[in-house]
Amino acid sequence: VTRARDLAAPYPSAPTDAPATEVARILAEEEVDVVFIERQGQLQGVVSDIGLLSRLLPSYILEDPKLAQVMEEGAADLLWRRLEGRRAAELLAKAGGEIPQVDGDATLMEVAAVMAGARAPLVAVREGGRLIGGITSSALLTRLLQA
Amino acid sequence: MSTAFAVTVFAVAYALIASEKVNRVTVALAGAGLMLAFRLVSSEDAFHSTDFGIDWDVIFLLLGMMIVVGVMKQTGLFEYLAIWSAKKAQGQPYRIMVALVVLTAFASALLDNVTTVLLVAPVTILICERLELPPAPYLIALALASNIGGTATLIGDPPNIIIASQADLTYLDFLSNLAPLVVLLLAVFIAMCRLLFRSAFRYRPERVRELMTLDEREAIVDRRLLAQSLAVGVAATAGFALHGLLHYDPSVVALLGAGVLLLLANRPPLVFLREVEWPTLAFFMGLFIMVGALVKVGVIQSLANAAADLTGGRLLLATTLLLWVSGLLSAVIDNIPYVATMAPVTASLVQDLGGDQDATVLWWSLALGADLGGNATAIGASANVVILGLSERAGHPISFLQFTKYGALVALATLVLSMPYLWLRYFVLG
Repeated sequence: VTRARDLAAPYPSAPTDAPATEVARILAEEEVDVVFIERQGQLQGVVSDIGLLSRLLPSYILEDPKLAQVMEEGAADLLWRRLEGRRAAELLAKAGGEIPQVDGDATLMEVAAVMAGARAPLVAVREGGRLIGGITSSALLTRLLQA
Repeated sequence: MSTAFAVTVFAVAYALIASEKVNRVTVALAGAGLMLAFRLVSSEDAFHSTDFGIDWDVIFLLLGMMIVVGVMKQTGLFEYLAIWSAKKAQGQPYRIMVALVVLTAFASALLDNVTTVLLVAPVTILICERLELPPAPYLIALALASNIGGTATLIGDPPNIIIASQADLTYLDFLSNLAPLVVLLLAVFIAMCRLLFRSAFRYRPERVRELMTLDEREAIVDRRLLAQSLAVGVAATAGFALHGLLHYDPSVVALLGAGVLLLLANRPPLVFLREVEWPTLAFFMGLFIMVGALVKVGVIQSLANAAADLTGGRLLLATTLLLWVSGLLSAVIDNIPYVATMAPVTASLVQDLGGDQDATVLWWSLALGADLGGNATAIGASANVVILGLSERAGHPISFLQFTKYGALVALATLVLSMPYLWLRYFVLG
């Protein structure tokens, strides 16, 4: 029987007190769509690329998208300034960082049920209280269809 | 028995609306349902009588204007004007605040206050961020300006729409009686801004280039739609103003404007109908039925008699009391239910106190008190609440006390100035 630990892929992680710019760097350079945020090995949440993007964008652009058009290309630099002085933990709230977690010995059906119930594209896998990786919905589907 | 029941339902509903513990639409519709279920008001009265039921003129005027505003919002006109004026002000903070205040007050006289602040606030935060200015004082000034500006016209603030319909007052009546005072109040408010927000005017010449790089022309996303909405806006304003000649009620003019604009825009109407605040319209309907029941059982007439006794038939005393009581109550409760309740009371007072003289001044007193009093606290007007929400989402939260500290002073100053205006214009010169 395939267990969650067998399918769990390692994901980059950062501690809650890491600079927010470091989380952004990991997302950009390692070409992953999420970064796990942990404290003393315990998962606190995830920061996704979309979550980070919404954090970078000023709220006035979200309130009035027409304002994005009046800003020149160079204004992109301003977006990065919004991360300066911030910590990884601060990115969690806006990113809606709560993701479901399963134990390493959970079956794939259990993983699927948790994922569908939470409508989350990613499930974190922990073993002995420590985070060992994550399972994406596409990896799970591929494995289930192979079975 | 029926009177006691009607008063109880109304009082409980009012308390729930004021406490904001239950959604105000739920309360208004449940209250209206109870009034109908216990036959305090008949369905014939509720749906077909303007004295005891829904004032459809108000509902359709609001609906028409919401659609027109829904189209105008898409054009980018306000974003253009805000950035253009900030650039013209050369990044000088006080001049920018004045430009934004004037733009907001003017727009609020033509559109509803909430829409106006929703249009101007995001671009204000952008301008402040570019100039490294604290957005909170500018946002507070916008909310206060929108409540002052909205007082000037029939369509500027929902209480004015209710008053116009109840008192049969025209757009020009509002313009000629309230707009001159509003211009004066705005000038005073602009002067007050210099003092109240003096710490927010730190000029940073090195940041001005950041402002100048904004291209306001890019905000205009659809020039054809802009031209069409401006044309319809001008035509609708002319229609409101020419009521004496054309004899079209404001609701008819607004609906015509909305219909023409939807036809011209040539887009699926749902795009614009999404902007209609259906909950607000439902709130108004429930409220009208509840107040209609109070009129029907005679409570409103008793209130009016008590008010007439209290003032002893002295019009100046009644005018003063109405202004200050309305101002104080509107500071803490929603001014829409307040005016919906007070409009029939005022109608009765105008009849009772008028005698030989024209007691229309009472309507202006009610409008000024209700509209300007809303500035006093952070929850006194919908525009204030919207600004608080926007500023929090932008990461520049404004506390209740912070807003109220400025709002109370501005409300007090504007109400104090309204008194000599009313006295001079309607008692000395009138």
